[in-house]
Amino acid sequence: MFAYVLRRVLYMPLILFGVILLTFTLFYMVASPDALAKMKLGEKATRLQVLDWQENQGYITWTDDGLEKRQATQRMSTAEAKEVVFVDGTDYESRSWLGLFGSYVGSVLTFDFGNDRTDKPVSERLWEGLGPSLSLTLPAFLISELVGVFFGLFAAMYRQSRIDHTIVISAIILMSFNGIALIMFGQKFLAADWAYFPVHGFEAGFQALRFLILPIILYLIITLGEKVRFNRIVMLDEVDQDYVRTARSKGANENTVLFKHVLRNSLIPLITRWTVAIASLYVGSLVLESFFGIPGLGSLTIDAIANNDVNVIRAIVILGAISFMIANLLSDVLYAVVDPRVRLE
Amino acid sequence: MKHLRLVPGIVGLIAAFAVLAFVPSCGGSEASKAAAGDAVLQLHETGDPKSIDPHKAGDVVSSQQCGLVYETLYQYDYLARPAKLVPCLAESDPEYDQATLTYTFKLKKNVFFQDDRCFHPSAQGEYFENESEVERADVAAGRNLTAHDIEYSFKRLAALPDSGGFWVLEGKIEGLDEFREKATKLKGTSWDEDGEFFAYFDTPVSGLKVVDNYTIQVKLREPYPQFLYAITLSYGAAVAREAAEYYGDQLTRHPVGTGPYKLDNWWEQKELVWVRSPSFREEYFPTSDAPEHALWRPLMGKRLPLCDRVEFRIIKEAQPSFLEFLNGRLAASGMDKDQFTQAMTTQSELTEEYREKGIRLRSYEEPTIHYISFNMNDSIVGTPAGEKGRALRRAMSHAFNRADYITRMQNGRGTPAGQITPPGMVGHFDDYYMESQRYDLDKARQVLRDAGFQVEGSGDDWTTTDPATGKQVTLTVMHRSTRDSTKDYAVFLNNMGRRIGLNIENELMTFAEFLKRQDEGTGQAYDAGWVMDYPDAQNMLQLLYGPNKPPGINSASFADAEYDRIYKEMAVLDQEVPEQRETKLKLIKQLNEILDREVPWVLVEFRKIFSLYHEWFIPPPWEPANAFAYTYIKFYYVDAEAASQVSERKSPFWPGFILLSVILIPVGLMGWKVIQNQT
Repeated sequence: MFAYVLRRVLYMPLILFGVILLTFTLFYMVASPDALAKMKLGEKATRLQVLDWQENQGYITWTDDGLEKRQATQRMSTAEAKEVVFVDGTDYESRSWLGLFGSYVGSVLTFDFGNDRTDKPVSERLWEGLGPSLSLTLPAFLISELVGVFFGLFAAMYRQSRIDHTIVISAIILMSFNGIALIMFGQKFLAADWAYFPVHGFEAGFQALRFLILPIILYLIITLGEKVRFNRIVMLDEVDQDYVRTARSKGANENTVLFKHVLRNSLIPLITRWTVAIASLYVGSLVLESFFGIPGLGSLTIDAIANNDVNVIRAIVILGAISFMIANLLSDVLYAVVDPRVRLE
Repeated sequence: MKHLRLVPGIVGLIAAFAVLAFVPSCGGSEASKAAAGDAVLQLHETGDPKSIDPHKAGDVVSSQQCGLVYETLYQYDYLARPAKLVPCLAESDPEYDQATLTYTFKLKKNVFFQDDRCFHPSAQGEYFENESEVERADVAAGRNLTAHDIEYSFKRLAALPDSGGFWVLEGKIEGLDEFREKATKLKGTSWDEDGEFFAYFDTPVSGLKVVDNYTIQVKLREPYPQFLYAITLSYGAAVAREAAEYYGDQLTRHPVGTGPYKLDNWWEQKELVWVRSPSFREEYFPTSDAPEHALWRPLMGKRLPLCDRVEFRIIKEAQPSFLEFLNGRLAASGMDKDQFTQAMTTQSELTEEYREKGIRLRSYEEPTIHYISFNMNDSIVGTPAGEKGRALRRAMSHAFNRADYITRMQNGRGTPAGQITPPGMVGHFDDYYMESQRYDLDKARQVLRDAGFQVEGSGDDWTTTDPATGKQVTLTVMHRSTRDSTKDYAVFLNNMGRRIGLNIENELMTFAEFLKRQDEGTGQAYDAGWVMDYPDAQNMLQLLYGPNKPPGINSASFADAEYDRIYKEMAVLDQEVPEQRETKLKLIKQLNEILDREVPWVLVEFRKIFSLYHEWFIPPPWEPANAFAYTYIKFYYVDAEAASQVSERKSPFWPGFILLSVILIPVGLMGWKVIQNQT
């Protein structure tokens, strides 16, 4: 197993390099140095301002001819100066793709993603956003998984009974609700009209709890239906197995059969789902954070996309790739832990 | 009962994770609490400001935040209409010598920067991040503002490579561009690399002359009648050199100004909290006997700022911000399409239900324009296509049903645009509407036929074929957003095209991609908008001035020698000088007529804002002029007691009880089943 894990760990840099190459290409195409300058300086920035910014950021270097032309424009009237065109290759040299890619790789490896659009280091923003995100998604995920497993087990054990039918129908009803509609409904009635919870906001430390209860409840309602149905199917595959009959014939009560035998043997598909879900917990729940004003990474991501904050988007993409690589490795290791038949070679 | 042993384990697991989750949630820092009886003004924004450094703040949100802490030489009179500049940091109106193009500004003597660590002798030459918390807490009293600060601030605006605001001074002040050339090269990417950059500010600029501690002269290179407006934008704000050097690039997060408020806390994506600055000079609410100013009469003569604390909450979604407003936790709110339908009657008046809740409505036209600009270099729709291109542009303009667009897409929140200058601005003619911008489908089809296109069809389904290609004419419009509302708008344009036989395709893209396409000139037409920076039509007309072609702001690449000549003549005329104003208006009219002939744009609408506010909040007399004035929050008034009564709410018992029962009863029944199984 150690050799397997080591091999997988050694693959990681290669996968990461692929991700870096892909994100560099995509972001360079979508947000060229010109567009980045305009986003930073505003649409009203003049060509000269754009070039000055690019020079400061290392995207271009002025040539001697370019500098001379630049100085000459300062003696002209504003109208004349605007007629002057600065040409790439003659007046300034753009930095090569390779050079830019080299800087990008360096910044990823040192976790230096530059500053966000408010001039704050991206790494600081990520760190600050991590707590609020996890404080929402971790309890929400744990509670919804526990409840989901519990109901799934129950439905499977009492299949074709009234209990099973009630659980399955309830799950389908929950799945039929639109998540956004549920959030809006919950926020309007439970928070705004009936004042059981705050409508919007967040505070540090344990004060955050009162702002988190409603989003957690809504997360539970939105995700529970699908989880119960999935778990029920997984458990149904197990409840007819010989070992279940053996356990019952040995006199084990139903709770022992359920929680000790069926649950344990259903863990492989559950682990697959959990690890993938855990990897994305860090971004919180994008919509819930946005609606309830939780200043986490989900909210940061939406904000970054809305404002073309390329450095933040890049960082989130890289962080996501790393999380998924670790989660995949973790799930493989956990398979071997929960099922002795699995051998990692 | 053996398996009940699992319960403590599960509970422990949840508790452990909960604790783990909560510990890092202390990432952001909390603002101080408001004292009882404080007048707290709560407003909202949909996102964080880009910067609270006035020389970098280009967007409206950032400029508004800067306006709380930084001040400019002049400000817009809060009550006077049309917009009028009055002294702010300046003591009086400037003296202007037309022969030497020199402005002389005299400063008030009682202006002080806010107390801050940067003024402490031990902080000189230090960078705030290299100091300990204890050192940082050792603040010093803010010093008196002098003419050197104004000189330094103009230089700083020029020197920062990432300042989006230098366009207001570029080529205007003698020697400043030369100063910029060297300064931008010295600017490093970290504070440690900025030693030479900071020292370079000692280099004199010939156009900036400090006469004495409270007098500065600014010598222009060419007539620039918009100069005072330009330096009333946040770019003209006074920044202390000590602050800029102590905080370096992080001045954006540690504003130190002379304004009425001091930043208490900025927690990104959550809130910005401002508290009254104790060092703010004595300034009073303006007085007026005019009957239209009756609403503000109780405030006249009161010392500014009127609120003790201003909290900007970051609320991204429309629903929570509106709910918070209805619950009295925000003083004012805009309305999206659905909220507008909910709050307004069909006559665009506030519903009785809202009025009874103490909510009031105000509406005003923003100095903005929404338009579609054609790429005049395009071979189908631009100048190379000659008369055919002009016909296509004109046909598109005639086919655009502005009234329908405003009703259906904007809930009536707009006015059809028939000229380039928005209402309320000098250069807007009440009796003028460009012929090319009138909605007339028959005329649109006729224009196409006259240009040689074959136009066939009936009702809403037509086909316009170009005989040269034998194919239906297709035009592509680019949009800067991929939001649902943009998709609806794309469908609107598509249907509009069908009515005159044009196949209109829409490309929805991110803002970055849109800018790139615009700069490269690779689009056929761009859906665009412009918010005026100052109340001078020149600001709008420059968008079609030839030398401003891409990557400049003339995204249409419109080049017309006559237009350019008249624009240059118009731009240097001062609308505040009566004898020049007349000529200026005449020239603006001529420019409109050229645009009417060439149709580089389809003018769509001037945006109208409908906004709600609580009756315990006295809002500004929002009309166009205030859109340029970012320092007006000091005039806002909140009745603290009335506001707190509105936001107090009680929870009803029964809805909660029923919901809880619905959740707990099935869980309880299943728990009972587990216990039964055990026995």
